[in-house]
Amino acid sequence: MLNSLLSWRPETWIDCLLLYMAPGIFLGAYLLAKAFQDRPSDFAKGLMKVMGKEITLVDQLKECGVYCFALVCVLIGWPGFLIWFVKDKKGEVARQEWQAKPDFECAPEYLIAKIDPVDAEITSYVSDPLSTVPAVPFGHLNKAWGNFLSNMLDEEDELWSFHIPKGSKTGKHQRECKSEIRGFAKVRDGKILAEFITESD
Amino acid sequence: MTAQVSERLIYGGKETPLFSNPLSLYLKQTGISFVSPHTANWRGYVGTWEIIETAGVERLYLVQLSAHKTYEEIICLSDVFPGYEKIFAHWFNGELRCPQGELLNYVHGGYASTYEYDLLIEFKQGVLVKRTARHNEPPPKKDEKDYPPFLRRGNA
Repeated sequence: MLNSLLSWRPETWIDCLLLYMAPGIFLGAYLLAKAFQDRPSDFAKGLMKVMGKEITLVDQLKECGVYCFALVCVLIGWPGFLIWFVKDKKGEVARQEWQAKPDFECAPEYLIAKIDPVDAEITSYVSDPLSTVPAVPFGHLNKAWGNFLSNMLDEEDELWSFHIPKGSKTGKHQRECKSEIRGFAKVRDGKILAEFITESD
Repeated sequence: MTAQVSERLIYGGKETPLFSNPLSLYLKQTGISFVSPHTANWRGYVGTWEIIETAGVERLYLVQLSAHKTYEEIICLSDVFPGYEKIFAHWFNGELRCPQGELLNYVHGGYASTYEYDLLIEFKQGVLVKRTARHNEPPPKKDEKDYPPFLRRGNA
């Protein structure tokens, strides 16, 4: 049977058309299965019913018609749908990667200079005539500074100071910062792994 | 979103609403967070700030704090900063916005409402560097056609 299948050659234009549409059948089946998987839950259906937007028989017939039309489109234009499908998957992966990225204010272009932690601490003491700030590096932010330094475990980790001018675009969402921001960043191979902000709004 | 309860600022002996959150950087850096008691206070606390002048220099201090550790339990400044009655906001760079005068346009979200004037006070490392006042105009009235169709009144 396998031999006869392998030795089969299209003879009429209908054979050619069926051969062309074969991948489209698989793609259509996959898209239909996905649509079935993403169908509204019973809760959503109940909510629609309460809102007076219950799906009627006419709606179901219309939906069936739309699915049939879409299936024909996929069968005929499957190469286009395949390109769109691959692009969509790639876009989804890129979106997930972007979501997983940490949201730092600092970016490589705002790094000023590599600095030793001891030197950073020397210039960080806060002067207050009312003595409302502890006499430790970075004042009330001392505990956060300690936590930041304790995470610098790798020998390749470098401490860099940074300055973000007012009006610059910062963070994953490229917000415009309304004041200048200063702080320190943990950098490895030019990549920012953590930040400690000492001044911001 | 709901309009948020403002911080308070004491300046020149007068108390005024403050539409800025100077404590947010401190809380972010130290990993402290509070519980929101209601939708008008998502940040879970209200701080009272004071600008105190010493030897000709005006500095920003946190003088009171009412923060929700849980929905029921409210903690104060000395619980967050043990041993201190006031706190110099040395981390604060930027502008404080104090709305003044008549409410021109209420916006049901954040600090977005417009008042007649805004007193803008700029700080660098918690030290006052500049003060300005801004006169606000009432925003132009919107017609039904200025809204997208699904937001227009009378639509089913």
